[in-house]
Amino acid sequence: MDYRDDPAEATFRAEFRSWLATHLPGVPAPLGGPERAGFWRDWHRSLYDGGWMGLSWPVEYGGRGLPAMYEAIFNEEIGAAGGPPAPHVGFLGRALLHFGHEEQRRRFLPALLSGEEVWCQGFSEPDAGSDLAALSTRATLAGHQYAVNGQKVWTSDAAWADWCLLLARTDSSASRHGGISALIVDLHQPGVEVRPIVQVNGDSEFNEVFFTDAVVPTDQVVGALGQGWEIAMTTVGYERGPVDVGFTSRYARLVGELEQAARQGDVDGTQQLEWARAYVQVAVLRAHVMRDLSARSEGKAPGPEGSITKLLSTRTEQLLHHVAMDLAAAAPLAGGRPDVLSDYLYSRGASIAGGTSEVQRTIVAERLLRLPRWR
Amino acid sequence: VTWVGLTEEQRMLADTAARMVADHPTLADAQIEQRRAAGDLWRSMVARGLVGLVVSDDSDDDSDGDEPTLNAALVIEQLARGVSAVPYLGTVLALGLLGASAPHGAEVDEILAGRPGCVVVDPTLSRLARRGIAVDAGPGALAVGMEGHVVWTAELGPRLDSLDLSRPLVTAGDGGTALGEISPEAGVRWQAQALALLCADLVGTCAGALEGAVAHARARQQFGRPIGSFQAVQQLCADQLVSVEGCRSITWHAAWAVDALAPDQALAQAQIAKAFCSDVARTVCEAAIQVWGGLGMTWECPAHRYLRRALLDRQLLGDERVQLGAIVQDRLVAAATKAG
Repeated sequence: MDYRDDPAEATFRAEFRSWLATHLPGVPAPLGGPERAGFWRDWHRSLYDGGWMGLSWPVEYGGRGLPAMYEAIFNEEIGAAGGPPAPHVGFLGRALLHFGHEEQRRRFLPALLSGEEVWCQGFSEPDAGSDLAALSTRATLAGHQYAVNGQKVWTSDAAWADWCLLLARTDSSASRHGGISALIVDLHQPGVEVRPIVQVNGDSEFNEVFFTDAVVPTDQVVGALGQGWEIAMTTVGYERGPVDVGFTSRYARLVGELEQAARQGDVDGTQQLEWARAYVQVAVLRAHVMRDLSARSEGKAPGPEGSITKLLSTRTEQLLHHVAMDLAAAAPLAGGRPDVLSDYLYSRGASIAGGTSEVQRTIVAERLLRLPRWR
Repeated sequence: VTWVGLTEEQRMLADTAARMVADHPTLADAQIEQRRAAGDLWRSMVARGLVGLVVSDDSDDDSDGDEPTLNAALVIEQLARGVSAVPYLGTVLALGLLGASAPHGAEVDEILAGRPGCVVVDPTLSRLARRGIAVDAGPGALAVGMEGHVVWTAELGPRLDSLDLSRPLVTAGDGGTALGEISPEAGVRWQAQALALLCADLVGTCAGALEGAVAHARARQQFGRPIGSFQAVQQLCADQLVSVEGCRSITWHAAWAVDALAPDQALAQAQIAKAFCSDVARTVCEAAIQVWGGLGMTWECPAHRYLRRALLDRQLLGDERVQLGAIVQDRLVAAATKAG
């Protein structure tokens, strides 16, 4: 067991740290709208041009082929430098890496990594949220292409995305899970309409997406027909990893900022103890993530254990933002510190997005504790 | 390479400890001849050399992969998982003090030969002391305490009414002898090790409590189905597993830090671990009682034995309030003073 960098990791850390010193965006992320999308695109491009994206991806698809632990170092250093969170290309890319055909990987992965093409994940529907297998969007074969009809919702980044990894029903006679396939959908076509949703913090990260006879060539089916459920579960397995979605970089930055704030003379002892509680929680998450990533380096894809990590990550995020709000006192309630308010409100989604905490606990109960299934 | 996991040897060590515990009746089995069983288990642990795990081997001090604290933590976790009354934790803690103050004294040999050891804390249970209360004081145990930088033996007096049924608390008074001085660095390192090993005891205690409750939830039928199929019960149990795995992750880190980092850094990491484990352990053990239902309120049910053990571990050398206070002092108050 060793939690310390080996010489190669230490060199990487030092190089990335000095790169960050001269490449951080000079301004904070705008709170919403196209400016926000542009800000993320620039940050993503800048990281990519520096050679820092896709660290643990295979070299042949534009990655650097490094162990997963480098992604954790990457996240830590961004957080320590106070940079914007790491772009989350990891989890969608994993679906293509694990299940995509060779031509699909070569065509799509490099541009996903570089930020040249933006992707979104078309999973949830109005009547298929936690019960994802209830989805009813259909892809019907007509000649050499599919016609897609249906609606997706909570689709992050769809307003500026180029491609969508879509779950659709390709076989209505098959079982609930067996009739689902994963398709790569070009969002720049007449059959696709995207309507942004205004969120509690005023931001519009996620959207509704409507498909009306949208066209998908048959060579854009990922994996085999009917393999969509397995692909979706693998994807959300990665989406639940706080490193894969860049969350650990956010926590590392926030806990450091709060440490500065909690040192000020007017902060009372109770608030300082609450900060310490959050500091401890971040340390626990970090130790746990390193254990997770080490298991992954032995070749295991994220399994049901990922739900434990996600629940720990959610506890951490929500505790951190309670502390942030409390340390900022009245300011975010009266127009000061809109960033603190916005991030706090956003943190309530941690226990909902990527599978609710209730769903995560059901996975833990049934698959790790082996309690009898409830249905 | 950065890598966080157990080696094959460490997995085998944990398995061996688990098997040894399983081969002897423990308090988790309820209503058994626990004391005699503990004596048998203790003798076989001594015979296997498990007591000396934390004694560093001076002959090859640069061997990497030497993780005595983590190894001891793995054994302690298994003992706690069975609420075992074997005085292993107390002995390891006493041995740590002796090794740092009087490494060549007869006391070390006595303990390695099988005499149990225990350490003395003040009446708050949160600080090492020369007189006060001896913790995990098994029959004939050698009590070791500290005053200033001097390590003392202590004379054991009357037994106290310990809430923990697996580890006796005994009055410890004057009458011992001074064994030697401990350097400030060694004292800090001992403190870090003790906190990490108490965390390991909490990991095992919580894991054992949860396993028992989950086994009950699988078997117990109500409304014509196992109560473990109800989401209310499932969600409660799942939350506890998240806490247990968090405890395990931070405890491994703290145990590793004792042997890999400078003493003050190791102590800072151990305080983080003890703050977290102390905080969640009570909740996990109380949840186990809840899952057991009415049975959980009975003396026969093992659930309260886990809770009792957790409550003592939580308090020993400082509960979460003490640890969080130390973190605040270190990172906020002292840092602000230095900056100011």
